[in-house]
Amino acid sequence: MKRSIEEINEKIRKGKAVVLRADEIVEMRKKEKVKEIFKKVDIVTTGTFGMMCSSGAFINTGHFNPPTKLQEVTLNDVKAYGGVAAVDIYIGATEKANGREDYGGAHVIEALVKGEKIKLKAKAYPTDCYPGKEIEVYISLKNINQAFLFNPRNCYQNYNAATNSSKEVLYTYMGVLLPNFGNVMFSTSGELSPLHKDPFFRTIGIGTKIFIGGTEGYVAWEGTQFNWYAERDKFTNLPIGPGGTLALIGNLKEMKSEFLKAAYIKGYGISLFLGIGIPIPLIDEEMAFYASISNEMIKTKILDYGVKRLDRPVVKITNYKELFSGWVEINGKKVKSAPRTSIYKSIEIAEILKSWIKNKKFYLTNYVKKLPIEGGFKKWEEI
Amino acid sequence: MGRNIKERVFLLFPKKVVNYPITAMLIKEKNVFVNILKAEIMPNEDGYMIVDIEGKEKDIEEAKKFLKEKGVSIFPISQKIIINDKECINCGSCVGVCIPGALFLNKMFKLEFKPEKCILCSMCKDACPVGAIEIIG
Repeated sequence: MKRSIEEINEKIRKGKAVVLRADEIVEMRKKEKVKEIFKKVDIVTTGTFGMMCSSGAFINTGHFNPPTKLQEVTLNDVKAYGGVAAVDIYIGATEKANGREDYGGAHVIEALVKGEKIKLKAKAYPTDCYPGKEIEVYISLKNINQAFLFNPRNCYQNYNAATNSSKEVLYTYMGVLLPNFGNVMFSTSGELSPLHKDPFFRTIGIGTKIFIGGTEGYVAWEGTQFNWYAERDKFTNLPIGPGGTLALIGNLKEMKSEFLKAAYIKGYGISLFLGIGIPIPLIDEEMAFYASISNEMIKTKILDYGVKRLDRPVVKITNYKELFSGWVEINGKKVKSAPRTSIYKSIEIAEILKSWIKNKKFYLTNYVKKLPIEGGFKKWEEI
Repeated sequence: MGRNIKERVFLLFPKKVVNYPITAMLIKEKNVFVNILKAEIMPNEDGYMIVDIEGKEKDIEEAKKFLKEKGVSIFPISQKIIINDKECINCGSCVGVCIPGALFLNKMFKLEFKPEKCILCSMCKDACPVGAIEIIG
């Protein structure tokens, strides 16, 4: 038996679609078989609210008088990229402000979303058509043409957990790692995370409509570092460690600061917490199987960040049930574990997406092109 | 000959060092007074201690150097921590570094704080990515 996206959308239109959050379908799976779940449920909503460094926004400020090309440009003292057309710029989330450790691109993006004014300073090389030499203005989402997030890599399908065998406290993008295997940090919403629920990208592809930062957005492309060939679990087919990723796009002007928040990670730098939710249509029993996979069935590797190489040693392969329990056993020792992704927010996002669908504000899409496009994952040898 | 000064620190002990008489060594060899305010040390487990170290500034520095050489991590102690609920996103970054378990995620994955368990090590402030933890003192 199969169910098409069109059939599901028809059910949404009639108010008859059965929508569950990913954590709810996991509960259902404890009592019911996949076959029954497929019969009863049409859509599963996912959610994640994690740090996504590979994010940024394109902005078009509108033209100035006299016409001026934004060449060397800063927003609140954070460098933006101006090497595109005259008043197009890109502000990357991890770019640091001049002379500041704890403020950067993500803070500028968050401030814009909050409706704040941002100081734009730019120098330009004058030309006949763009005679202006420099400019200093305040921009906000109201006085600029476009502002949209265009993130090269979001939504990792699984990620490694981190621990630290060394004698030093490590300040990493995975958080503060205490010495001598003092803790384990991990970054995913586990069974709620979008790409854990569609391991082979059978429903998520280019053009898929999603929740991003509190509004509607789209999958634009495969994400950078998309790793189709990651080692997979034989039963669930899920990658054990980093797998697929998504490049996402969404209108910054419609986003809400509850679902987009700047992060400062001591010792590492700036990142962006971003809320993403993707609906998983249960088009067949296989998708019902994947959508109802629980934390216990999703495995990952705990890597030793105390070893400062690209290929960090694997300390243990564990699952997210153990990681979410708050304690992981490493070499016979009980080690504290904690997420870097807000599960509280992830559930909230899945719930909002569910209510959008139920209230006929959000219909599902067929993808335009299947992922992956390239599928490779290249690494450099030690230099 | 300087005056004696007192410094309150949080010490994080690796398992290996727990069986080593570190406090005695500090007093005997580094010429400082060590007053243990709180400790949780068990054989073959990582442990922690909050101590006042009193002595000459030079001796205290020597004592800290000695501790670091032994693999003990040292953190300054604060007075009080405050969590700003408006900024907190309930991620769990602070939970992972809270050794006494004063910060934890409840069943709804919301952050909870039990001040009576807090040992004021201030590591949560360093770990918080959204600046929601404030240290007073």
